[in-house]
Parts: sequence; structure tokens; C-alpha cells
Amino acid sequence: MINNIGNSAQRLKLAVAVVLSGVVISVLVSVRIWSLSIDQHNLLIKRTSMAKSELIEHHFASSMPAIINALERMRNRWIARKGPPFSEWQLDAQDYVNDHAGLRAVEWVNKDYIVKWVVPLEGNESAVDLDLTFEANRKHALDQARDLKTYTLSKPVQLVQGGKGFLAYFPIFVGSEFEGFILGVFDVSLLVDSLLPHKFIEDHNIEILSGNEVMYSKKEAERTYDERTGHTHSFTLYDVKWDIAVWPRKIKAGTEDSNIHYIALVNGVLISLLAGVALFYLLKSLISESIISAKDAEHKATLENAIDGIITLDSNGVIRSVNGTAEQIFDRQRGNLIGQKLSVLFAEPYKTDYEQCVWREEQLGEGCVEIGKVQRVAGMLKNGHVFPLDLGITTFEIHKEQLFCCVVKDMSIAVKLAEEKEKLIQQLSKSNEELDNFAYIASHDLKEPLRAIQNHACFLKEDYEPILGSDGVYKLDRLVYLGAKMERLISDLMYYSRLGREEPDMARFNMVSAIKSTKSRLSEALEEHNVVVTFSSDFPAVYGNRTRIEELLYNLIVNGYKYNLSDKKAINIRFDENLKAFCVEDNGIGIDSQFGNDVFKIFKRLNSPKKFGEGSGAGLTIAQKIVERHGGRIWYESELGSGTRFYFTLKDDNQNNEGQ
Amino acid sequence: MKDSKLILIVEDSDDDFYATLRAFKRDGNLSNPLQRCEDGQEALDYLKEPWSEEHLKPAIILLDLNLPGLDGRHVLKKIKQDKRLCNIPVVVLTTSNDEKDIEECYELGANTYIQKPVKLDSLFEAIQKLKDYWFQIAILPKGD
Repeated sequence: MINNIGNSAQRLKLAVAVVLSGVVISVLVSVRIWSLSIDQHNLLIKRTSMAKSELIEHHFASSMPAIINALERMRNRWIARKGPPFSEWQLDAQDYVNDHAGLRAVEWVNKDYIVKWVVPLEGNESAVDLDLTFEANRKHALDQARDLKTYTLSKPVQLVQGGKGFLAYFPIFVGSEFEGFILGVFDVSLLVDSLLPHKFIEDHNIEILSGNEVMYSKKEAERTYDERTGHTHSFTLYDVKWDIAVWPRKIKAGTEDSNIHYIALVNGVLISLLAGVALFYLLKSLISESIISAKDAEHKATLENAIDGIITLDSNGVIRSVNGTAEQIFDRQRGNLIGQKLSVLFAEPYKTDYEQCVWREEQLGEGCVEIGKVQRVAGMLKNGHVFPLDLGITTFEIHKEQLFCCVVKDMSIAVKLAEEKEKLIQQLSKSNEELDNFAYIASHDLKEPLRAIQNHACFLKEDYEPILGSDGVYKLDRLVYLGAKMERLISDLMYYSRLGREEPDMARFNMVSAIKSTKSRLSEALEEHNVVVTFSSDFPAVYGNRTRIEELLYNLIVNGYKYNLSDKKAINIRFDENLKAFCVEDNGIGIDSQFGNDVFKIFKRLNSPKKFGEGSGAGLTIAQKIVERHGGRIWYESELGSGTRFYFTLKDDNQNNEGQ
Repeated sequence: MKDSKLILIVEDSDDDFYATLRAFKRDGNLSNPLQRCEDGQEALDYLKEPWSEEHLKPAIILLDLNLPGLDGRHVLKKIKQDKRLCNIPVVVLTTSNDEKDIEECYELGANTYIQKPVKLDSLFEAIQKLKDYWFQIAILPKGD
């Protein structure tokens, strides 16, 4: 799956996301388990609390009736004995007090609600001769018991002996005579403490309420009732509602147990984090491996499909591996090549050279190709066909073994093309040379008869002028003129062809001085045509044939004033820094853009000679040839009516320096 | 009195020879004898012969370069290599103004190189000056 996902960075991000979400989920599960475990633990404690509260109720419910029955029996015995003597009653009462722990005292109250007899006396001294009407609650209970002639339980009261409890009143009627009450004092603390073994209550807090009155409380100050671990059991006994609240003491809820939960939680979180880190590194290494294996496959495919043949050799020059291109070049299967020496692929003399060469990095150059260089050798097919082959060898080390990588390229087509190109170049230069020679010889040979024609016309005129008359003389003059014109055309043609043939002497010179000498050569013509030639003083150093460059300037200046109708003909020569070109600018008639490069065609004239004077029409052609012979380029910018800027470049000075 | 300083003109072209001749005779009094050879071989043949009253040693040679057969350069070389002839001034008079030709001719020992002027007037002027220089200003070696 990982392999299907884009690049390594994406894969790593995915892995981080997987690990992070795994860690988060695992931590959440740990926390949940921790919380469930605490709940479970609390539930167990709550159940204990519940059981204990029920046990307390059970004790209440079983001991209360026994006490009530006992007191009832005492009352009945009073009735049967029609008032027993105190000693007998005392013994009887003492027995009951001894038997029933919750019974703090048994008292006889006379018909005036005054406590007369008290057993035991010790601890209950304050009750002797107590008038029970002092308190409404007690009086009301006594009244109710007397009137209903049945026992009555008081509401919970603060006992005069101290502590809290309730009182049971048993009215005594002997016949119809009311003789007071047998009164039982229930002390809740005594009752509970006697009912519950020490062990039972030592690890729990207990609080017993009747109504809202706390009847019994045995609890730690710092631990309040908690619904999660405690239980409150409610029941009604003899019309009194009781609430028994039981909850664990601190020792029971205990740090030990809760620490276990926290330890479990911390453990869970730590394990999650550790597992996350481990998983992350595992995934990372898996991804790295998958990337490495993908890269390996990529490298293999790259080598297999390289444009050049690739052959790997071991440290003895024996073929270890061959790529598909090398198979194609040599038309052999790699199975037949692996294990053979590299030299089997070559024709003589390279076959012997490579058979004998020492496969050591520093020695390979002796007789074979130097490491890192390319050698043209002769490859050989199985059928003996020999072809040019470029071979380059590099070396590297794997597991301390020196290996060699040979890159081979079939040069058959390239060599053939190069040979054809060379042949064409030779043909072309021969043809150019012939053309130049032809132009020179033809023009040279044309000149002689031409001159003779002119000469004879002159002789004819000199010798026979009176006979010929003015018409004849005009025709002879015309003959001389046309001859001279043709002579000029031929001269220009000769000059042009010479420019093509000569190898001019090149030197570095100052453009300003070349301009100055051209200007002085032209001084008469410039004065005659009212031309001002200006030039800037900052030109780069020029490398070229000074004579030819002056001819170039000459032609451009003449062109600039010849085709110029301004009153003040101005020509400026400067170097354009932006175009890196020399510029000859005039304020002449301009060149119509439709003519384009026609201006550079030999003998091409754009204007009437009658208007702008005679010329062979070779000036700009010669200028172009000079620039071309200097490895430069010439062009112009012009606006009809406002002048022309001829630009030309010469081969860069630095390049010439290198070439020198 | 007839001047014995022979002018040898080596020129294949009748027209050019005629023009040159006319230029020499322009001022009306050419006292020097003239000898024309039409090609290089003829010139060398003439120069081979022993000198006599009838076969004068040239005082100056006007040599065209473009000659049929042996060309002017060859003739110039032969003259300048020949002890008997090397002191004769040779004026190369040719249509070529090729720098290579000029250089080569001077290297071979030419005394003057003149390009045949295009205009006849210029030719007349050039020949006149040549005449003035070689026959009036310069002192030529005595003939044998």
C-alpha cells in the first residue's frame, strides 16, 4: 500500500499520522479502562457499604422487638404482681439491661410523670426524680401512651444521661388503676456499638439519622459521604424513619488501590507512547526500504534504457553485466558476453591492446584509454563487421573490489555524417575558390579588350576628327564613356572577388585614427559636397585589417553623402553600447523598407544615377563583404526622408585574442 | 643623331603595343630604336643572341606580365638571373594591380612596376614620365 503512495515525504507524513492516531487511540483506551476500573472498584466498595447498612438495619430490626418484648413483659409482671417490690423489679430490670446492650436504662415513672426508680443507677443519676413533663415531646408521648393504654416510642431525643436515643413508654394499668409507666431508655450509640463488631466498623464511616436528627455518627472529619462508594439505607421501624449511611474510610478507599489505577493508567499511556515511537521507526524503516527498492528498480531501468551501451567489468577486465543498448550495439545476447574479456568486442589493433592492458586505474592509460577519457576504437560484430566505437571507462569500488564501467557509443552514423560533411565542405570551398578565380580571371581578361576599344576610339577621334564631324565625335565619346563605365564595373567585381580570396593581415588598431585617415582621403569630396563628418572618441579597440576597415568606412561615408539632399550633409560615426555595434549615421534620403537587404546586392541601384550621380552600385556589397570577412554583421535602420543608420559589428576582440 | 638606346617592349596585345607606341611617339620625336616581342619565348630568344649593331642590347625592357606561353614573371626571373642581362632595367607594365603580383615582381628584381592606366590620357602621361625618367634623369649602364 505504502508503495502506491507518491513520494517519500508523503509516505513519511502518512506514517506519522498513522502512528499519532494510534497513540491517541491507545491513550484514550487506557484512560477509559482506568475510569472503568475505578468505577468497578467503587461499585465493589459501594456494595460493601450497602451490605453493611443492611446488616445494621437487620440488627436494629431484630434487637428492637426483643427489647420491646422484654419491657412489655416487665410491665405485664408489674400488673400481675400488682406492683412488685423495688428489689424484685430492680433485679428484673438489671437482667434486661445486661441482656440488651442498646438499653441504657429501665425506669419506673409514677403517674405524675416523675422518674422514681432507675436501673442501673450508675450513669443515670441525673434521671432520678426527673419530671418528664419538662419537655413537650416526652410529655406528649407519655400522654399518648396513657390514653391509648399501649406502649409508645418517643421521637429521637437528647438523653438526659448524654447521647441520643429514644424512649419507650409502657403504661401500667392495674385493673383500671393507672400506676405510671415502665420506661426504656434506648441509647442508639450503645445499641449500634454493641451490635457491630469493632472490625465491622473500623474501615467504614457510619452515620445514622432519624428524620434529620443525627442519632449516631462515627466518621472521619475529612471524608464526607460519597454517593459513588457509600450507601444510605432507609427503613421504618415502629413508625420511626431511619437512614443508615455507610461509606468507606480513607484506609478502605485507600491510596494503595487508587495508586494501582493511576499506575495502570500511566503504564498504559507510556506503553502507548513507546509503542507509537517503535511503530514510527518501524514504518520509517519500511518506507526507507521501499524507497530504496523503488530507487534500485529505477536505477536498473535507467541503466538498461540508457542511450549509450554500458558494460561493467570486474577487476580483471572480465564482463560482469551488459545493458540492453550494449546488446544492440554488438548484436549479442548478454548471456554470451558475461564472463568474457572486453577485448572480444573490439577489432584489431584494439583487440590486442585491450587484451594486454593492465586493469589498474593508474595503468589503464598505458596502451588503453585513460580513466575518464574517451577513445575512438573499432568495435566488431560477430560476423566480422567493424565499426567506429567511442569508449569511455570510469572506475569505482564496491565491497573493496575495483570495478570498471565502460560506456560505449556506436559512432557509425556520426562518422559517416562527419565524413560527408567534410566532403561537402571541401567541395564547397573548392567551388568557392573556383568561382573567385573565375571572377578574377574573367574580369581581368575582360579588361584588356575593353581598354583597347577605348584606346582605338580615342585614336580614331584624334586622327579623323575633321572627317567624322561633330556627330561622329559624339558617338566616339559615348563609346569611351561606356567603355569606362564597364571598366569600373569590372574593377569592382575584381575587387569584390579579391576580398573573398584574400586572407587579410589582422592587427589591433585605433578606430579614431582609421576614421581620421578615411576622412582625410575623402577631404576634397567632403568639401565639395558640403559634408560634415563627426565621430565620438570612445570606441573599443578594433582587431582587423585596417586598410579594409578604412574602405568600409569610406564606402559608408560616401553612401551617406551621395544619397543626401540636405543642405548640411551630416555623418556621425559612433559605437552603440546597447547594440555593441559601430554605427554610421547620415541625414540622407533614407532607404525604403521594401528594399530590405537589396541594398547589399552587387550592382543593385535604388536611385537614378542622373539624380544622385554615377556609381557602380558595389559600395555596400563591398562593405558587407569586408564586415563578413571580419566575422561581423552589417545591417541598417532607416526612415525614408530622415536618414539611415548603418550598423556593423566586428568579431569580438577577446575571441581574436584567444585565436592568436 | 640616332640614339642607340634600344627599348624592348614585350607585349602580346597588338592594341596595347599600338597604344604604348603611340604614347612614346606622342611628342613627335622618338629617337630610340624600338623592338617588340610578342611573347615570353620570343623575348628570351632575342636576349640570347649576341649583341651587335643589328642586334642591340636593350637599354630598358617594358614587360607585360600576362603573356601567352611563358609569362612575364618567368621572363623577368630569367633576365634577373642572367649575369649578362641582369643590369638591364625592367619596367613591368601590366593591367594587374594585384598586390601579390606587385610584390612578386619586385622580389624577382623588377625595377619599376606600372599598372597600365585605364584612360588613354593617363597612359600617355605615364609613358611620357617613364621616358623622361629613364632616358633623361636616370643613367643607364652602357651597352656592350
